[in-house]
Amino acid sequence: MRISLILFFLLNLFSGWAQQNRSLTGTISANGEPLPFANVYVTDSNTGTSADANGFYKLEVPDNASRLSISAVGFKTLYHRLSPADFEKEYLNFTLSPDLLGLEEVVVSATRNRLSKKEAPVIVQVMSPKLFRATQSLSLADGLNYQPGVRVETNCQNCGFTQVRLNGLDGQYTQVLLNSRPVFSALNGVYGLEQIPVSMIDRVEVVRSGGSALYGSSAIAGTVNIITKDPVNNSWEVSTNLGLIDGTAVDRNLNLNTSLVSEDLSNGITLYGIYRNRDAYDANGDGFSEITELTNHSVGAKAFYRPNDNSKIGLDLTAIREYRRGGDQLDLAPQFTDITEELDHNTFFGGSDYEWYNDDRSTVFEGYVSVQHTNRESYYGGLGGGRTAADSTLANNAFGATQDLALVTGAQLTRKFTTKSTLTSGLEYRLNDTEDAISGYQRLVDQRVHNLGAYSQWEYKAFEDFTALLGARLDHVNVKGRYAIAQISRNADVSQTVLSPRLTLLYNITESLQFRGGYARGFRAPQAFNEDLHISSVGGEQRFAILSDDLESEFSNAYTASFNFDRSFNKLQTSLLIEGFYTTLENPFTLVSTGAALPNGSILEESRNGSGASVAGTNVEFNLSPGEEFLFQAGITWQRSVYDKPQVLFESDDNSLNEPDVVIRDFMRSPNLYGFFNANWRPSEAFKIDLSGSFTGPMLAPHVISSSGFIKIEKTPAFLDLTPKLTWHFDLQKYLHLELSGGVQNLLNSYQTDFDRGPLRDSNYIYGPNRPRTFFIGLRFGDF
Amino acid sequence: MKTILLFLFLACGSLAAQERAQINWLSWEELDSALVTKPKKTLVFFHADWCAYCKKIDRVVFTKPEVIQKLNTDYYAVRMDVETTDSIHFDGKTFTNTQALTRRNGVHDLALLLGTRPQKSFSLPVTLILNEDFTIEKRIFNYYTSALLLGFLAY
Repeated sequence: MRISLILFFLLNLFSGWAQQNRSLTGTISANGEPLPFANVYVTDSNTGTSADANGFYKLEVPDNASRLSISAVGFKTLYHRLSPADFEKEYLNFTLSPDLLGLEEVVVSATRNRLSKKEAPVIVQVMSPKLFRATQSLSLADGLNYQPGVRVETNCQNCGFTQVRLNGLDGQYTQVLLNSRPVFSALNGVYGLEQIPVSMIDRVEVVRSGGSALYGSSAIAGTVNIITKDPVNNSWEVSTNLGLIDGTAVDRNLNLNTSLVSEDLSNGITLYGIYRNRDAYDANGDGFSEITELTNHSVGAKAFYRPNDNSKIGLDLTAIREYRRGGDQLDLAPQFTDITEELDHNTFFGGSDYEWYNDDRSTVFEGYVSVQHTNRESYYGGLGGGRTAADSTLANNAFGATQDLALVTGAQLTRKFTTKSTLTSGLEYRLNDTEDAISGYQRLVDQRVHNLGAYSQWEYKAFEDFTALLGARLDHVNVKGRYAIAQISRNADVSQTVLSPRLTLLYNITESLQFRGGYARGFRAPQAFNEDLHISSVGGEQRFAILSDDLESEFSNAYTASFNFDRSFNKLQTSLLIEGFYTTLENPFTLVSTGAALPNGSILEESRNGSGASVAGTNVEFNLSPGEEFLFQAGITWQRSVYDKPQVLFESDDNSLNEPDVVIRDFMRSPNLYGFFNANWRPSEAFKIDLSGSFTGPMLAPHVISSSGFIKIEKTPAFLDLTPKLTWHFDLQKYLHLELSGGVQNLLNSYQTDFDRGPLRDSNYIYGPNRPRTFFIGLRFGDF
Repeated sequence: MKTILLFLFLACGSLAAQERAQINWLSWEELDSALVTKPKKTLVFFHADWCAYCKKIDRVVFTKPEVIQKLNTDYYAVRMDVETTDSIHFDGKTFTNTQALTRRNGVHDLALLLGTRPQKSFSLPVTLILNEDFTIEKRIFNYYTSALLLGFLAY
């Protein structure tokens, strides 16, 4: 009786939407069982109904209706195109399949608006803290390897300079964003990936290829968007980890995290603090580090305030103090050692944004300003194996100081005209001012880059299964730079306006098969990027990079095409992505070694416009989930990166028979085959097993083998870095949990074995997995 | 001295007990018979493990003394994890979680029946306020503060 009263009420509610026309009836089911209360409605309209407890529905369909969507929470939405035959049938039945792999997750990187991952015209890969925990990643640099087409590698034994490579292109082709803002400067690109602790991250969205136009024209290989937490509930969490690198070097970690959100959700704050202290690690017992000593203290806060239901003000503050040192005799002052690279970063990120939207969110306005400032003290030098007065003088003068400022401010307006058409437009101004000076080497990088950009992107659903994303970005770039090393000095004065068009298409071939295609044009104005700001050592002397004279802008064309197939076979759910990519580079900035060209025998590398180049390859990603307790993901990339014409990597000064020019066709440090997998198994609520691995195929790496700077191209072996991890979960109280975990990173100890030895080593000759076998245990407790 | 300590201890204990005052949640079966014995208005709260806003209501709104007092005096209160796989006997019928047979995070039939809106997927939190005769007074499909809820309950 009571229930019938309710049903009467609900039926009245539903019938309000019925418009008398044509009617359809049938049953909605899932996996052979009727699915109660699924929703059926006419796409892009307000006409709809819900099925009853037996999965039975009855819907009056207006004349102009052409398509139905059938949805239920936890199931993949089904779209059905109406045909006249449908109205002649007695019953029109539908079968829904569950959404276990989170295919309908919400992402922002694709179009700069929140959008369901499946409807996004650009493929967005989302990495959650779950994955970071499964792989025991302490910093962003550790976790990024577990995405198709992404590879992170350490490039320097002395200082641990890391680079992320997307689709085989170097780090400077990838734009790193913090909460969708490009505050990550060229200088942050050197060590920043290791400075961002994962405990402040809510998720990381990776877009490969330049499909997402709105973030800037330098995002040629793609974007990595770090999104920090946005809490609802009060929570707190303390976690600590202890790692033993090769059983000897200790890595200690402490994270604190808490969120407070008011009852009416109008304001809230997340606070986090990180302490990390890692010992240096020496792989070959020569007294010189392969992994740097590192201390990182970071604190940050993210707060929001909603003055009313239509607006939100956000504030983000993070301070990072990071100290790292590598080389030998780490307990001595740097000038008394053979090699020391010591960096003390004081970095501050601050940002504020304002968002306003109307009641139905069809118009959204955003204004923002973000700032990054780094104050860095550096030491790149040492005696280099010598003990002469000159060595000592030089070593005493290798202290440097760096100031870096990045500022981003902009405004963006998004207007949804109909359900089929959305226009996003914006203006953005960026400034990056870097001054890096080491007076002892007469080295200077003094560079100021202004960028004023205007962009617009139109998302148009031309017809039901076809969405087009048309966009363009107009950038005016102004670079003023002075670069000096020893007696050499270069200037850059560039002022350029460039239009970068982008186009992306999405076509749903069937409900389970999607095609995406895209074209993006990108450019980079000549300036010093991350690698140009890094100093390494070889032959006991420093190796510097400088821009060449008359360096010209680099342009790129990126094409992608992909098929995405997802399907359920009873309870088992699978998805398969096959993506082809092809990128051409015109005038790519290429570091060419001119050998020991400086008076003291130091090696000088010049950033020059190289030969045209192209990168072509395929990413394959596979997901499998037979049920709640098991998930398997794997990805593999097969690619080739080549220069169109032979490219000089080392320029010999006398062209002697022993040490001629070194000329290459393939990109260095770019394996033709690499991939990852990640498997989670949860036998019970309290126990979880993770197994993840990353594979790096053979590649070519440059190796300096003589004091003249002469390079030998080495072929590296393949590596398989496996990480098993066990986690136990205890509920101490309703709101207090405890987690214990332990495992081994790089279980097979798949690590480089042919490091150079001693003070004359080539510190850039490091490749493969970032650490040897490392045992770890962890403790996490709190209300999380 | 000992007696004073004992007294203090007891006083603290009873204070703590008062602190822990909570809503007297009924099961559906208990509600069924309570409605026969003494008709009262009813509040039904649907939640799930993954629903952050449900947790917020649970922790912030349902712990406020005014809310607890209002609900315990003037209402019957029922809470239900929509993913429960228990069969529920209510109003002479048996409701089961049909969805859970075929998938994870399946929503119980009873929750779907009471919490489904036309044209929208089932979403949480859902709160129902019912009259003495168990007709629907109000259905709330989003988060609310304790002040807002007291307003709904006071009509």
